[in-house]
Amino acid sequence: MTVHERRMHLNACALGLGFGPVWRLPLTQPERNGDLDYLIELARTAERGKMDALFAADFYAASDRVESSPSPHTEPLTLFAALAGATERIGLVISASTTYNESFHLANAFASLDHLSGGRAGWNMVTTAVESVHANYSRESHLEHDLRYERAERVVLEAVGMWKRWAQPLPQGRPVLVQAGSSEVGKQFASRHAEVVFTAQPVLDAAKEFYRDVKSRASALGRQPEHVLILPGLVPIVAATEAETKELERELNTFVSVESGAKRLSQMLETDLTSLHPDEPIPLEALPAVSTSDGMRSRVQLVLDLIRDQRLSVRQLVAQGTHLKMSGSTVQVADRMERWFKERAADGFNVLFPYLPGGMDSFVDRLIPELQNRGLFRTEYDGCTLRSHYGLPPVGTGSPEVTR
Amino acid sequence: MLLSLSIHCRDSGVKEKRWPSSRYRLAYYRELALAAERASMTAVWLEGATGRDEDQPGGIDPVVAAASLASVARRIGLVAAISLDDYEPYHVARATASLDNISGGRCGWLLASGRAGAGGDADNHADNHADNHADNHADIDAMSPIDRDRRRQELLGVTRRLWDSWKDGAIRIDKEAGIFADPRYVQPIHHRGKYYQVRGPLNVVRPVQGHPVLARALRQDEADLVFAAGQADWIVAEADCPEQAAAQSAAIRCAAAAAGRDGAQLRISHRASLVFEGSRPSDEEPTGLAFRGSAERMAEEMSRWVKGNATEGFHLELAEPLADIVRVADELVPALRRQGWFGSPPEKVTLREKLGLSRPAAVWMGEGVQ
Repeated sequence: MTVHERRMHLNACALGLGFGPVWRLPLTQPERNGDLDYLIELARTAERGKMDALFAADFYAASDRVESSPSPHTEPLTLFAALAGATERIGLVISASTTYNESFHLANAFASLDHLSGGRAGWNMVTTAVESVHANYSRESHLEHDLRYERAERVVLEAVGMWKRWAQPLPQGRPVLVQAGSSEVGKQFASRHAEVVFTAQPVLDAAKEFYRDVKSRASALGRQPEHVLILPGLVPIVAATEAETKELERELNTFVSVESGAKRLSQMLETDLTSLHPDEPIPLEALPAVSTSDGMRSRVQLVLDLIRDQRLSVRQLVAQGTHLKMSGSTVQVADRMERWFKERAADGFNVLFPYLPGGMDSFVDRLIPELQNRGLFRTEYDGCTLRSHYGLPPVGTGSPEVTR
Repeated sequence: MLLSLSIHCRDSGVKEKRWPSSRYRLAYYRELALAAERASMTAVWLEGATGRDEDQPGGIDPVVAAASLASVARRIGLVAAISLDDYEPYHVARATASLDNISGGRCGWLLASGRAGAGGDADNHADNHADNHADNHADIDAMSPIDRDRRRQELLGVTRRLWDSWKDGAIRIDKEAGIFADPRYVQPIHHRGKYYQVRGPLNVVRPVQGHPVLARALRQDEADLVFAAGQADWIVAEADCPEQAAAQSAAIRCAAAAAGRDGAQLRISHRASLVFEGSRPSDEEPTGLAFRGSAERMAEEMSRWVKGNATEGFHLELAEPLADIVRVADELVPALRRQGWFGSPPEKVTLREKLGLSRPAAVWMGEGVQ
């Protein structure tokens, strides 16, 4: 048996205009956001870079800021089905809620995408933390955190059961299962079901701890730890030189508003940050000790840790966001990615481009060749399925059963 | 008046022998859609399986199939079946608006019914839901036909209001002023009905066509005729001869008028099979209307229907879709053109434009209206 060199896995978050308040910048083309040809260009750029998969999150309610933030022209399943027809190899990973979908519909939709894309479908199993969604789906109330995971457990087992039972074999055996919540319950769920884990980890040591934690939980359940990939979100800010990168970063932050950011974070942390001095470290006694939030519990905890760990001011916190940000020259960013990868804080990254399409172009044209030169990233796709890109075992031929 | 041709692509599960498993591949749909496009057809209708047996696949999800064709065939209308009984209106509105936007206004929604793959699933829900968060479908089968109809009407009403929750002109994209959309043009719908409660607005912007085209394959009963005439933009009916079809078209238009609809905003096609001269005999004889013989003869026969105002188009069900569609494109369509019943439609028009239907404006009721 050949032992393969461990290689990075890179997803491209490719829906929309970029990660952050960037639509007003000259760098983006919001008027093309609903244009299929624009979206196909993005997908083909990522495929040119031999990236593992395209990824799109999903929301089941309109933004409460339709005035100031772009709204989508399409939901991701429809878009990615269209992209399946315009690409050959790249994986197609979509979030779909276990709370607001039935198992049969999910199983059938992802099986359909898997068939038509020739084995490139991945399902990011989300439980939908956004409270307002219930009012769009004839539900009396928002389902609270732990009950959402109870339901998710049932829905996922039912869907997996259907894929196994159905007569028409799927190109991948079953679509790749992805998970993105990092709360205690979320980690348990991930260790049972997920083959890929998306997580927000801006701090190296915490990321290593998370990595070790999820892998050992999976291991304890009899799964191979290398069959659970940990992919933290990464916002890369790369230009030709360090100076140009600084300039780019400054431009990207043009419309980052400390005021509205502080308001948003205050709601999230259930702590008033708006009255604090924007440039002095946030006083620790103002913060709750642990997150008991019903929403994105792990995300709240992460922000609390980040403030404590780095003694951030409100302005720094708003600009940082919750995802890992790496800015610098190509070599500098590649060095940091390599370090995270080699020190086992990550098996790769879910790349959140700070602006599109340019942010993806520079990633694919600068960073990927650098990573390839270091032997850290593939130069060609080895196989045709997403499962094969991720190095995950085929399903349906005596692979170990996921246990409850 | 010109004739419209459309094609039906049905996936009735693995029990269907006549289509090989290639129908699980995009190449199958691509070939079919490209040939249909070459034949200047109005649309391809995609219908999944509605079997209840979970041991069989539900078939390829028609919305997924239609969306995958959007990037492959860039001109033809894409009509996808979605059950009126199976999904929350927010899902339906999102899926159809998305397909319409991604295809540049080529989406049709085939109003289907029934619960796909419900199997034992629906029954289990009631017991399993300690979370008090039951999906909104568990008792559909126990409903009376009248209640089921009311529920469908409510779903259609809510879906239209969700499409309208973004008015035309809402999107401004003013980088300078920082206004992406004018919030006065984007409003919640606050629907609280008997079967659905939906706040809105939709999280996908208004469909290119305003409303995607609502299509319905008519069943042979009076209640369905009233339903279709009241709701659908494009109806496919069944008849054996032009006289019967003319009478039926008149009955549909009469019911549409009774429902307060403008007759100019309703298209009627008839289901037809084709048996080309010299084609391999099929296992099953086509049921209902079939045109037989040479393309020339088929075209003559078809024009007799159109001349008599019996129909506005033919919706083709082909025994050997991939083989037959090529003959439609290469033989039948040129013959129809020679008869003067078939034009070359302009490129890149919306499905509504192809069908001669106008684009609905967004209608807003007062807030809180039931």
